[in-house]
Amino acid sequence: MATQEHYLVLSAILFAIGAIGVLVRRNAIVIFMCIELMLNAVNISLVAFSKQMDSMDGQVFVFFIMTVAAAEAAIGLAIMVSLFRNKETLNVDEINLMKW
Amino acid sequence: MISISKNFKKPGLKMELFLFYIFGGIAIIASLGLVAGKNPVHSALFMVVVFFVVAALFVLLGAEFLAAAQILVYAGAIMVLFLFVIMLLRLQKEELRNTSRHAFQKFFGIALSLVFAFQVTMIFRGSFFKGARGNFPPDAVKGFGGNTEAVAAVLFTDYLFPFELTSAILLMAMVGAVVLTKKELK
Amino acid sequence: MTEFVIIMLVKMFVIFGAVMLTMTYITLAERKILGYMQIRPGPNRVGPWGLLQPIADGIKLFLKEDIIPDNASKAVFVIAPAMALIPAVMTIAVVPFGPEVSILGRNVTLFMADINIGILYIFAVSSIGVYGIVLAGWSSESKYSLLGGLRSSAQMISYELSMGFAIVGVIMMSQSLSMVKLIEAQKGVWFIIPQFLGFAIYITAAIAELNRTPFDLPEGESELVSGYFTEYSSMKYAMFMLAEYINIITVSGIVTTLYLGGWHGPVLPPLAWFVIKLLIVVFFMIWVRATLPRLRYDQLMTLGWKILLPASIVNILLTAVFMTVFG
Repeated sequence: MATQEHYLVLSAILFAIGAIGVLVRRNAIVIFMCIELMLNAVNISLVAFSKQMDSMDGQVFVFFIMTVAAAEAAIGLAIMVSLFRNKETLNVDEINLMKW
Repeated sequence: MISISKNFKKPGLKMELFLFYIFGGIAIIASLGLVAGKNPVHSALFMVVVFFVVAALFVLLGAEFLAAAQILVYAGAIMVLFLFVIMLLRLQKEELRNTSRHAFQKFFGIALSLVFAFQVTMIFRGSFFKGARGNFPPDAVKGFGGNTEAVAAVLFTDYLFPFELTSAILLMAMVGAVVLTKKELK
Repeated sequence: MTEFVIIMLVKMFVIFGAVMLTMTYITLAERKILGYMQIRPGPNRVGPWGLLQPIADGIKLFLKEDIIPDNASKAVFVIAPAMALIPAVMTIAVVPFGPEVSILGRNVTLFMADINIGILYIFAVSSIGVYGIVLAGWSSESKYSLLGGLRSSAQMISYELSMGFAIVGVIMMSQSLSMVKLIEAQKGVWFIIPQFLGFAIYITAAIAELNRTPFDLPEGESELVSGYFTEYSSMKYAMFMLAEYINIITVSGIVTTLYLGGWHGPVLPPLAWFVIKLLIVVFFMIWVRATLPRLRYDQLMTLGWKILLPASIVNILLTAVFMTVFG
């Protein structure tokens, strides 16, 4: 019987892997994907809590997180596209000037 | 946990535990592939696998509507957007040399994340979650007619204002994305 | 428990086999019907009335040389046709071919599964179909493929929206997402009558989703060589074709379920009615292919965003007003 603990531990592991990705990778789009992975890990734990607490609030929160993640992905990728047009690179170490 | 809700205590569900381990294993392997993949397109494909597995976990947790929404929104739209951007920008494989100016950054990143995961796991294993139970035990959900109807019952009454706000957020995102990527016509 | 598994396995083989057989003969039917509409006989050499033509096609495709371009990313190149075929086949699982019948003393339902989010499942699975095209276009490392892939996937995601909104009108009238309950809600009047606007939008958007004429610019032979499957040969190309034709069958099945009353009909058994209506919709799609010229890409995008999307929102509004006023 997979208890809530199982789901929360899985969520913590996925979140940590996403955090490793954000800290280690240098490509801006891959960093963004790891952030989406962290959001998904949080979604899993929210739905597990919603089932444990017999409430639909967790699932509604997940619905809103999905919507906001979609909006954020659209704008984040638009920013990266315009960044790439100006700087010709997406390596976050090389995007280090405040004004050029 | 002090008391497990009726949702989690059904007899004869070893299959569910087995499925959970399979899906959890695939999720962890795919996310490791995502973090370690050199080619961004391979990372994107691993991400799609993670989304599918998370949708499967949602179905195991009894949230079918969210599983379908996860595949529709994340796997069907967001990742297609990512793939478009990766292909249009023709991103190459990531260079192997260390361009960061901080020494041992990767080592500390991995070490601290693992410490974080360990701490969170320890908290979850030894704790108890007391809170007011909500109004939707499994019988009430069946009475509403299923998971979708139950989510709708809460979404359109208690959370109506955030729902309308998300429509405003999506409108902002659409307008912002178009404005940011518009090329100036000279 | 074992009886349940055995029934499921038998149903799986029967439904899958029937759909595969129908699909191969729809390829032949398409060529014959197109031929007769163009005042020529179509394939008629390989067996009487060309009935062995699909077998000949299959053998030919199987025996061709399988070429993989040098620069292509091998893994993605091989996965792309599978990612186009798998969603097409997954959708068959929820198409309701008939109600519960009694075979050999047991009650079997003539569909694989009746999940309570049936329509949402179909919508979700069809939005994965875009991946096969995008990955095929990218991994071929050729300009024609990339352009064709990007155009085709942009077209597919544009028309998905109108499809979804058109379905919302039907869901509002039937108060349920499950496919079987949708058919049961059409006992009185088929939904095509109150939802004629939705039906028109859905059929147009579905033909665009399938990349068929008049929306087949991405694979137009005169524009882009062959679009996103330029570099594919032999069985991988066959998988793309399989995916397209199975999609035609499932989309026709969905149109039958949503708008044409599913298996309701006077005299014949319900399964026969469903198959007849499905074949009528398939014939309609082939007829459209024979008749209409191809749309230019900007006309296609205009149609999808500026005409179909507002029309589908108007459809939802009208349905809501209709339901509030008439109960």
